Amino acid sequence: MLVERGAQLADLEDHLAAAVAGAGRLVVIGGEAGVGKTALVRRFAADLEGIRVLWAACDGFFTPHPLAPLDDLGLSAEGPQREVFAATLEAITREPTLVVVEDVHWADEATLDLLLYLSRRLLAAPTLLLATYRDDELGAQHPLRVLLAEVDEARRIPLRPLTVEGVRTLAAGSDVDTVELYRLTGGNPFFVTEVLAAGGDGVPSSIRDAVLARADGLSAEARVVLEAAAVVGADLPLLEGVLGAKPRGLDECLAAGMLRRAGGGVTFRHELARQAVEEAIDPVEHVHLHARALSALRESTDLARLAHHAEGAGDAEAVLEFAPAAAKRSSKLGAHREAAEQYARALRFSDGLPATTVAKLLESRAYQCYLTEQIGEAFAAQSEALELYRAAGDRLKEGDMLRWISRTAYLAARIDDARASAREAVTVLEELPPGVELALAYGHMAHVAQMDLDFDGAVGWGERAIALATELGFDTLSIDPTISVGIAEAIAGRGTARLEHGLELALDQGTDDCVARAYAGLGFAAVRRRDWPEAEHWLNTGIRYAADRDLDGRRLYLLGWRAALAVYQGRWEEAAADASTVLDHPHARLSRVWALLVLALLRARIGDPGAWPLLEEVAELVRGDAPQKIVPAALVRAEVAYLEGEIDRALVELGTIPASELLDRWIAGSLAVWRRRAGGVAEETGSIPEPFELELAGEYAAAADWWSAHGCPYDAAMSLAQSDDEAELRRSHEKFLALGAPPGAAIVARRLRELGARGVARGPRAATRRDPSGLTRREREVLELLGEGLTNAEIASRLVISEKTAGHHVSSILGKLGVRSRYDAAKLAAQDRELAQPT
Amino acid sequence: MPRYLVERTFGEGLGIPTSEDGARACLSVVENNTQAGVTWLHSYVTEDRRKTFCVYDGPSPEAIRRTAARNGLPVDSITPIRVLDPYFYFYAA
Repeated sequence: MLVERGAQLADLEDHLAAAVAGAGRLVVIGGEAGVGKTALVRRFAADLEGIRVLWAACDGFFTPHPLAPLDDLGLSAEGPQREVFAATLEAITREPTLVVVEDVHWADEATLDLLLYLSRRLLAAPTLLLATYRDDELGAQHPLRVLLAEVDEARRIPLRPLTVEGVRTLAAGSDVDTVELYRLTGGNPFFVTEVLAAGGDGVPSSIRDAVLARADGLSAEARVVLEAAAVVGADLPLLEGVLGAKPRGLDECLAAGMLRRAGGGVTFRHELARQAVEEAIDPVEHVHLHARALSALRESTDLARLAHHAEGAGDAEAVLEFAPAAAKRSSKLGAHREAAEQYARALRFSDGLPATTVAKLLESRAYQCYLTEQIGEAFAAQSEALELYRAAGDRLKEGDMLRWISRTAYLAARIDDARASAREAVTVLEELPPGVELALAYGHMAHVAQMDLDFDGAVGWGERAIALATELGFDTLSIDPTISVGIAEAIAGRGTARLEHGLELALDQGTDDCVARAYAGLGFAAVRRRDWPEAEHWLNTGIRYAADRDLDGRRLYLLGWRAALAVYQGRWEEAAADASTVLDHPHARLSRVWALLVLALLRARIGDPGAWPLLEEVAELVRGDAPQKIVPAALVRAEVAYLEGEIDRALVELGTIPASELLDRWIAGSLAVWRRRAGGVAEETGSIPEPFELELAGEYAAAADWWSAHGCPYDAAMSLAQSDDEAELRRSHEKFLALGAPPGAAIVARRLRELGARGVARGPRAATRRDPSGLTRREREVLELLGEGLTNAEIASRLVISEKTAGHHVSSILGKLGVRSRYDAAKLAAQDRELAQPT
Repeated sequence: MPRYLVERTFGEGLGIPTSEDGARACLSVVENNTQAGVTWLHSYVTEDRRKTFCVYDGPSPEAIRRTAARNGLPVDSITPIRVLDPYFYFYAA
């Protein structure tokens, strides 16, 4: 019976109705083990008519084989991942469908990617995707968190344990003390039913004891069957293979309710029960059961399961046969976490293997860990492999491992180690005849130099990599270095021709990641130059590209730059939205720095609290970075201090690097100008862009005009604020107020009063904005599309934002216009347009 | 979760009728706030109804502004605050 779940069933019905009406979605059901997630979805699915129901489950039993749920759904996992995913989407959306995937906290990585892919594409499909998970088993780094971060509050159904009343209902008819039962079980339904079923004397103190108490009541034969089932799993043929056909005692287990029939076999009522039984098995018997399962399974192709039983049986030979193979298969299907675990398993049994074999296993494990951001583990494995290759005198592998160690060190923000290893890799490999490894090592040096803003280094190493790749006939190896050199050239102001060429090559033959890197480079170079049309083009194209391929890391990096774009243009709400998206994502490490800087600057400019804590986090993240790279952060810190009236602190924050030494001329110009604003002495800057030159020459109005003409209203206001001319200061004050930037306005107002000017407004005006209804530019865009009758999903697609963000914009528009529905808003927009027509 | 004081200025004066419409308006504010993890605790209003000082719990200033926009409310400033009452020092001593 289902107790105290009426509200959740109603929620599920609402969601299903909405989905079938054409608004498909992912809904997640979270709760502790034994709280009744399975019971809930079974009851929900039981009464449905006219809806196709598909079931899949993830197994916690052992390291899963990748995309196991697709087996349950009767779909194929073979082939390139994008095609498999697209085919799955098509299969589940072709008619009104409920898809249930249980226990996704145990999902392998490829399955999680699949769920992410599906959840982002169900918008117009008549399909409800339900996922259940144990919410008390998610550590801070659990991969499921990435999926959960994208699920709105309204699509989460948490299941809580029962109340005392609920326990009373379940216990009706038994003479157990309800309050005591509730205290013991915490209201956990599974625990409650186990205790009630065990009956008898003695109160079990845990679920485990309750289950074992029940099992104690079985005969010896049934006990044998139960233990075998605990080790071997639900597969009936396999169970019979281990125990012999039609095992005696099976019926007794079924009758006692310890096992039940499911699918093609028998299974425990709950994973908790299976676990309890397994843990109580005599260790020697346990090993024997695994060995028998292993030989019964010999013909199977389920490598992950074979590896599992091989380890349980302590059979090193079998482990070394199956685990690496299982790892390769998992990796191929994109389940990299599982592949890493299988390699770790093989390594546990690697005593006595030749050193180079062990080194290869370590290398493979390190690569899988690298892909899944388990950086510490990757580093440890690579270092061990390096030692083994060195001891074996394999210089080629030694050089290659050094390059890999450098890449890993970079991700771990151990920049000095990264540079040292990169150099050593080249030194070692140059002693050998030139080959692929050397070309990769040159390419990596180019990448490191580009990240260090070492222009000459990036070009030098990059061109050597390209030349060698061409000489070796491996053209695809030249794509990555081309992009590194292209980015360096773009930052140095030498144009984007090479980078655009790199993009073309990458689109043609490169990896998706290369393409995204090129888009990012083109995007941020354009933002730096304040070239808004170019910047918007590259960033939005790049974001769409990364979104289509679920390249979350790259997409978030690009969003950080789009946020910077919005801040420069004074579009605070858009900036806050994009920056928050990046910072809310649990995995966005590399992108965090830009998003944090943007948000800190935004908060300081509009007078919101909390800029410095963000800047402290940035300082942590950029520790060890090349001095040139720290300048953008220093500029933000200086502006924040300046806006707080701490002029001396602002000057200190700017540091001591001469502007003339900076590769990026736009950053150099900013640095020189901020030094002047903070009362520093004049310096030789070398050539810098026009608006900075004008301001340094004291031509504040001309500088402001340049900024305004290029869509940088805040910079215009800040340039004018440096003047001593009352008229110019008044213009600056107006601009700051119109932008909603009270701190800047206050600074100018103070200057004006010092000059003896009169009639200066003291505080922010009551909500005057350029737009009569107070809509932001983005909201105006959304309103236009509303007027055309587009849905939120269509709007999101058109503006390259998420559906969630589009929904927020629509809500904000309704609030600002004071209307109840999107149709009313669209009507108002139409009226506005009519009024705006020239007569 | 930080606590903030939000100052708002209403050009026309704040008007929430003490009727079912008014109650519904307040509840829809609460509903919108919940979606962003923002909690409206209470507000102080000046006699002429032109200025309010609202106490909120929320994850960030951006969340406060986002829900304000959704609810059609202006924001003049956001200040992080802590509770202090006359007996705080008495008990601490």
